[in-house]
Amino acid sequence: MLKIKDLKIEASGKAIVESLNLKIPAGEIHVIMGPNGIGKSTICRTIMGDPNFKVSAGTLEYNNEEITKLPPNERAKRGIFLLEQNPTAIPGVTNAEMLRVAEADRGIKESIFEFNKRLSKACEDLHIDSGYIHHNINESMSGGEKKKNELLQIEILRPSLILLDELDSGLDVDSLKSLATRLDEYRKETKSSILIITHHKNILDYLPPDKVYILNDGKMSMEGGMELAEAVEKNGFKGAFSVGE
Amino acid sequence: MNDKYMNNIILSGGIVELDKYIDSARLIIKEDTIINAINLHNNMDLCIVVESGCNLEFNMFDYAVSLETSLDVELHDNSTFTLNGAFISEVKYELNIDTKLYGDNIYATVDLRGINEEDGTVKINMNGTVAGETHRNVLNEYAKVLNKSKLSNVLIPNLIVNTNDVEANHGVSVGRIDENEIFYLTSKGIDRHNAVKLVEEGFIESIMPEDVKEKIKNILMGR
Repeated sequence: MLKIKDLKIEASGKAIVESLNLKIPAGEIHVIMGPNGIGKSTICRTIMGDPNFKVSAGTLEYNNEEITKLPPNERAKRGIFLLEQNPTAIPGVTNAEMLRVAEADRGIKESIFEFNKRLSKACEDLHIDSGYIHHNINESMSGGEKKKNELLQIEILRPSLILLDELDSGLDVDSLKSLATRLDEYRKETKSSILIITHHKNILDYLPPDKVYILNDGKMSMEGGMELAEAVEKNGFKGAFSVGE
Repeated sequence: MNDKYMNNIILSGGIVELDKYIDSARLIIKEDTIINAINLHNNMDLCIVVESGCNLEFNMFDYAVSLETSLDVELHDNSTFTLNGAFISEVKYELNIDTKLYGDNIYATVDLRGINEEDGTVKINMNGTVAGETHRNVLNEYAKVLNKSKLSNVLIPNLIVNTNDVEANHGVSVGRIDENEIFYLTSKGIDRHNAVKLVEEGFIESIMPEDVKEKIKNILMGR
């Protein structure tokens, strides 16, 4: 379970998120919605340990261990995975190279034969070209291809908490359906949890949420279920806030 | 031709692995040729003449304690020249490259990538000359250095263009490692040291053809 308690996040000396509280039990899907520039992506990056964001108060706990001060690689080793809105490209480094080092740094010993077999099977299961395996990470890829590429990494690294920062941006309807459906299957298979950052409810048709929050003024200003996402889709964030009042 | 090169070697096509004992020579390219000069560790002073209608790809890599290389490249009508040059400078890396376009319809690209280690220095003089009364030539020269050094990086790009009918570009950059790339890799569970190593090696290997990339990977395995 992820527990966030009274978290205050700053960047360049300016508070972006104040007093954030959140609990995501294993196997659940939670959603944070909110207008542009309100700090939703900041929350994901802070959970992952981005050093550009400073936690000036509060704590982050994952599976009963405080991770507030852990570097990103240690958080990843504990099962946290961030799928960014626009995943970074790394010229000259292939997915296979990166995943092989990521496994070695987790202490996983696997023959190159077994590793390649697993990668090929993951490509088959995801219906993606096996060329992704030896493709430089996210280089010269469309938005949709990058996200499929990240999904391939999820299949290999097997995280238990997936942070989805606007998965729906840059994806066509069919790709969104196929990726989100696979993520929900993965969640059920592994009892992992998912935190979704989104502006729209479309993605929630395939990843049904247990809880929906609206972020405003650096805090969770509203909490509900799918009906809250539907209200935002229908009336916009201002409309949802006025219902809350 | 310059008299200082006593040793004339004619290359008639194919892939040539440059011998580490060649330190000063004139290489005359008479057919399409690929030259690989990988981790030779010796100072080189080469004059390369690419004859009319011939294509030359020159792949050069060195993980150098101290190295001085001078390349004087002469290109003639309808020839192409691609230099993929990569290096890691432990102490000193100096490269002088002079690319001279003497004919028409020549396509020349010089692409250099290097890492300047903590105690390293880098000095690159990248000169390109396009002769007068030549036509439809293209000359590109780029150099990028990832700097970790507290000492110096000097990258000097020069274009001397004596004709109007040419496309000539050059650019140099010296920068630090991209922390976004490091965050990305560490967020996949990779230790910082290994993330830096992956980014650096990817940076210098990214300009190389696949077979050369593999050789460089093997050289850098124990780095």
